Amino acid sequence: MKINIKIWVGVIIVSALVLLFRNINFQPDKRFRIDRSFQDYSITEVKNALVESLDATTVFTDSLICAFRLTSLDAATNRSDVNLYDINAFHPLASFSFDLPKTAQIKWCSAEEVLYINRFDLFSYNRTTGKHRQLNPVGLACLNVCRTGPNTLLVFAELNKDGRFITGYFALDRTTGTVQLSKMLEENSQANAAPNSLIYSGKFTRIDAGTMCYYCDKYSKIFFFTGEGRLSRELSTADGAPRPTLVFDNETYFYKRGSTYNVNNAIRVEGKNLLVFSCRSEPVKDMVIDVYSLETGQYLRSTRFNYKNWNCPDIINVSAAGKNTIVNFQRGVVLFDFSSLGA
Amino acid sequence: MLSRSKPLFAGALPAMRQRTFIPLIYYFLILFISYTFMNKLSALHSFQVNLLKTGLYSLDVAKQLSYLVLAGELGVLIALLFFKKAGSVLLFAMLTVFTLYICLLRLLGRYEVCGCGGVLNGLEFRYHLLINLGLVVLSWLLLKDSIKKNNYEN
Repeated sequence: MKINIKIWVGVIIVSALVLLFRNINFQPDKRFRIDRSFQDYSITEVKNALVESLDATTVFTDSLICAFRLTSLDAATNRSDVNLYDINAFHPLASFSFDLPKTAQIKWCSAEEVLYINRFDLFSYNRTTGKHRQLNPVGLACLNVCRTGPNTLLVFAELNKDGRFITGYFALDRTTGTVQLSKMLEENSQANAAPNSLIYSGKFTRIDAGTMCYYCDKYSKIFFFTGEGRLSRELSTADGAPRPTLVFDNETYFYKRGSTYNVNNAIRVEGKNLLVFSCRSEPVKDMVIDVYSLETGQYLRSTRFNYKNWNCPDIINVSAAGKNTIVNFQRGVVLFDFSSLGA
Repeated sequence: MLSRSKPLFAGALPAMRQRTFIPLIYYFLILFISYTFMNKLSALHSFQVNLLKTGLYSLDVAKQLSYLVLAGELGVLIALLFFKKAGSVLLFAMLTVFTLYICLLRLLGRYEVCGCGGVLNGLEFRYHLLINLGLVVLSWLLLKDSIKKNNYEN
């Protein structure tokens, strides 16, 4: 029988390619993954018409749902419409519009004011007076902020003190302008606010009436603060992901590939447990929630469940909403009952 | 009378196919390389940043490498247009190097998304690899045809 070499070579090449594509590791970096033990819990979606009408521009702060909508993109300022809702009762509280500098980032919202950062300066927009006021004293470059009381703020910032640049968390009294260091992350001889805003990038969230939290989204650390803004404890999630490293092109800092990991996208407290919505898992079409003991900080177990094939990397932020948990995904907002995870 | 001799049009169909497909492959590859070249050139800074973000090069090296890649692509384009055989060899070599490079990035955990330019930007690794393998195969077919023609001409 005549053997057609070309056909056989073709068959071998195609088979090799099929084998290659079936077996090659197409998954993202497996380093700093958590060795999880899974347990099933009853997790249900709670239907709510208001929640279903919200979109990804929504921010949850304190006891508010703040739905932002950009209405004009001017050269100098952006105009935003804001609708505030009570996060527990889901009823509208107020609506207003205001202008922000184009480079500003909204960080916190309360019924009275919107806190935003523009080029490392912290501002407050007062809803009643319609005025913008700078809050940070000279020498404090602000990177993130949350309200701890009517006149007190907790800021993640860099303080220039006698030529030394201290990056960390500070309690800021807005009436006196005094700043008190709560937790120092690093001290440098030159300004590092821009790279540190990327290295320690994360979010503040209130986990109960007297506790604020800051979780880094590219570092495994979570910091807990008292209602007065004092550091109460810190823990590392089980992935142990290190701080990201950066590259600089003489203008901008960028995360360096191969040594930057997406870590924790959101946290939430349920009963005596801390729920962590982590990105350090296999690329699955499920939500993977890691449960840690709030008391000891130890990893306990994980659970996974499917909701429209959305997963933890899709999450923007999470907050308590009454007895339930409101989760803002990139493709929509959903209300879940996670109470079984608190046990 | 029926005969067992070769049909009249035997061999004509593959030859016709080759006459149609090889020029198609040739023009497609020229268009493709021109497209990615123009995209890299028009967004040179983002191409350089993409190289820098791999963490394999310093800023200076990333800049020099970006110019080298652009010069290489331009050289291949000119060669393809005016010296088809040499152009085919260079194109096949260039696409093979690009394919090995993205595999290396992947192995080192430095591949994020494709930065080749235009609609290719943001491609996941598996699709990038598939496209590259397809291009390598096409450039190999072109190279094979050029060598064959060159042999006839010689």
